[in-house]
Formats: sequence, structure tokens, C-alpha cells
Amino acid sequence: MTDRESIENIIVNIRKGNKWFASKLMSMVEDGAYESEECLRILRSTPGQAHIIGVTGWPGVGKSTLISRIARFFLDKDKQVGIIAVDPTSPISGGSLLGDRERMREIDGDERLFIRSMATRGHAGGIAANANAFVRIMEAMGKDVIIIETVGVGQDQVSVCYVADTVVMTVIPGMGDYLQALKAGIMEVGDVFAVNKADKKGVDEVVMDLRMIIGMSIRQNDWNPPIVKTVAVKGIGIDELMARIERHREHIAQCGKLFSKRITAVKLEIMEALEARFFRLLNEKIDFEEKLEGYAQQVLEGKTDRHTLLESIFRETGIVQQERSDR
Amino acid sequence: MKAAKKKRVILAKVGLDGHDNGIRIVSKWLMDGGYEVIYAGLYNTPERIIQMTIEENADAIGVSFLSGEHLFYAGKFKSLLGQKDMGHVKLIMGGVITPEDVEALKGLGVDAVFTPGTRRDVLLSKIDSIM
Repeated sequence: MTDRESIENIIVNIRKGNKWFASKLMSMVEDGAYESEECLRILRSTPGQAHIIGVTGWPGVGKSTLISRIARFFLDKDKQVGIIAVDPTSPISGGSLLGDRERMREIDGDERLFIRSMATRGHAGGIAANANAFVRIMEAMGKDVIIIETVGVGQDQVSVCYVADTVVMTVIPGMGDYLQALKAGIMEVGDVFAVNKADKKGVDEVVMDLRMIIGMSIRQNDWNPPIVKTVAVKGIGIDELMARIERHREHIAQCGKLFSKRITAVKLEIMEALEARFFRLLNEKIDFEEKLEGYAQQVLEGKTDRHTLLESIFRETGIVQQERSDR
Repeated sequence: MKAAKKKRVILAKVGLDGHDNGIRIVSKWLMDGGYEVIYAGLYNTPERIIQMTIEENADAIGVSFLSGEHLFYAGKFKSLLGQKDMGHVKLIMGGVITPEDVEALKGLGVDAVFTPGTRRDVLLSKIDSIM
């Protein structure tokens, strides 16, 4: 089979909803296979209509369980659902333990559902670099709803807000006072707030703190993020949460924010591709990774500074031709 | 960018066998060995694991047993993999298995079998070699 035929075969089968072809293309994207880019281009040329929901929050707030409930809600309406569950890659070994799926056993196995676990592979924003590509592949399969579970995020891992149409920020009672929440960038990206484990002590305090933070935040497009109390394991509060999530999607579609979000997501993808390509170029031209240890020693010992070092690297690679005159 | 291909392994328990200490340790070992481990936990059916293998595009399935049902499930997994044209997916088994049954499993086409006491480096180098 020629490349052309094999690409067309992949596209046709993905558009029929074939899980095997979709899954293989996802791996090709992750492994940086050349043909995957052309497949993605073709898939993107037919824009999809899926609602992309991001679920984020600190580790242990119940993201996977909440996602199971959200997915169940849509499956009950006979919708096609995709889930992308992201877990971290170990910076030491490069391996990862992808365990989100294990908490979704209640829904796992449904024919209308496609769950894909994804390792961050060194990407720092709380979701993996290729999450947007995975979203587009699932959309092409005919998924009506695509849910992204981020890694348990800290304070500034907000890239999910670019990929998802609606970001559900999940918090639980007893995780510190409102100042903690106030300084965290992730609090600013929530479109809908789920206060999960709402049967625990301190839930009203959390809701009060959130109201205050949301009230103080600068918001765009007249959207006032609602706060919903949920107990995901018992299914409590899910209907209200879903009503808010669906309302948000209608809102951003009306005000034009949906399109600008999608542009931002692709900007991010381009930046990531550039970064990766640039890094590869440095390795090809000057064995950058080999030399990094030596560079680090020079900076540590005060023999050079970072700016001077970069200038010399750029000259060596030919990226910068001459001495910069503005220094 | 041409990134390094990462190998993906699904680790699971099947049936009602609830003893997951061993497979949890193997999960950690494989993760430390650079694998992407999809941990499926307890009480799975072979059909569900096969579906998962498709969705995750996994290179191998690892299942562990304390209950003595390894021969039955080995046959089941091999036949499902065959039916779905997934012969490239490696099948790894572990647990309390007698030496005769280790041979029997290999006869059924299981790619590697590990019994209690297997050292980390032995397990990893065997799995590296079959992947």
C-alpha cells in the first residue's frame, strides 16, 4: 500500500468511528510519525461539532470519578463519548503509570465510549502536548462529547483551558484557605466550579471562598462561573453540574469565544511543535544534549552567563549569523 | 519531531481473583523501566481488556493470577487476540504457577511467564527482549 492509500485508509476508517485506526493514529502522533501530520490536516479540514470538556483540579479531588458521571450522563442520552485521561510521565525513567481508567470501570467497555490514557511525556502544562490532536481524532470519529482529564494540577498548569471549551475546576473541602486559591492560576480558568465530596465538613466555607474569588476576578464575555456542590461517588449534584456545563457551551458559542479558544489551542500546538523541532535542530547541529552538562558547569562556576552562552550557541548553529549589535 | 517510541503495557487482574500486590509491584517496575503502564486493576474480563488494548494501542497485556485459572484465561486471551487480528500484542502472565503450567502456558503461546521471587532486573530484561 502506498503512503497515500494508507493515509486515506486511516481517514476513512476513523470517520466510520473505527477505534483501532483512531488508536493507531494517536500512537503515530505521539511517536512523531511523519504521516500522522497529513492525517491530522485532512481531519481538521472538516471541522467537528464536539463539546470539549476539561476536568481539572488538585490530585485526589475525584476528577476520574466525576468524569465517569459526566460520561454516564451523556451515554444515557445516547451520545458518543471520548475521554482523554492524562497522567504524568516520570522525569527520571520516562515511564508512567496511567491509572485514571481504573476509576472509570463503571462506564468502561461501552461501545459508544472511547477512553485513551495519555502520558504527559515531559509537557508541563497539566495536559500532554498532543492532547489537542487526540481531541480532533476523537471528533472525527463522531464523538459528541470529549472529556479531558488533566493530571492533578498544582497552581499554574492551565493549558487545559486552551484545549477545552468548558473547564470544570474541581475542588474539595479542607484544602486550605482562600488565599491559596486566590494566587493559583488554575482558579482563573474554571468556567464551572464543582465542589466535590460535598458531604464532607467545610463545604460551605469552600463555596463562600470561591464566591469571593470569582467575584474579584476579571471575567470576559459576561460569564459568571457557577459553583455546584457534587458528591461524584453517589451521583449527587451531577444533573445541576451538567446543566451548567451545557449552558456554558451555548454561551461561548453565542459570544464567539469558541472560535478564539480553538485558535489559541492551535497556537499552543504550533509553539510546541516549534520547540520540539528547534531542540532537535540543536541536537543535530551541535549535539546540544551532549554538551549541556559542560554548559551547566560553566554557568554554575560563573565562567559565562546564560545570555552569552545562548549567543554563542546560536552563532555555532548558524541561527544567528554575526555578533548582535544591540548588546 | 521524531520522538522515541514508548512501549505501552496494560496490566490487569481478571475474574474474581482479588490479589493485586504482585501486579502493583510489576506496574511500578515497568514504569521505572520506562514503560507506559495502563493499570486496569481488579475484576476485569478478557473482552474488556482486549477492548482496552485496542483503545490504548498497547504493545502487551500482562495478567497475574493467584487463583489457578491461568490456563483457562491464557487460552481465552490467545483466541480473542487471534479473532481480532491482534497477533502482534504480547501476552505476559505472572503469579503462583507451577513449573509444569509455566511450560503449558508457553505452549499456548504466552510470551513470558513470571513466578514469585522473580527479580526486577530479570523481569525487565525479559520484557525488554520480547517487546
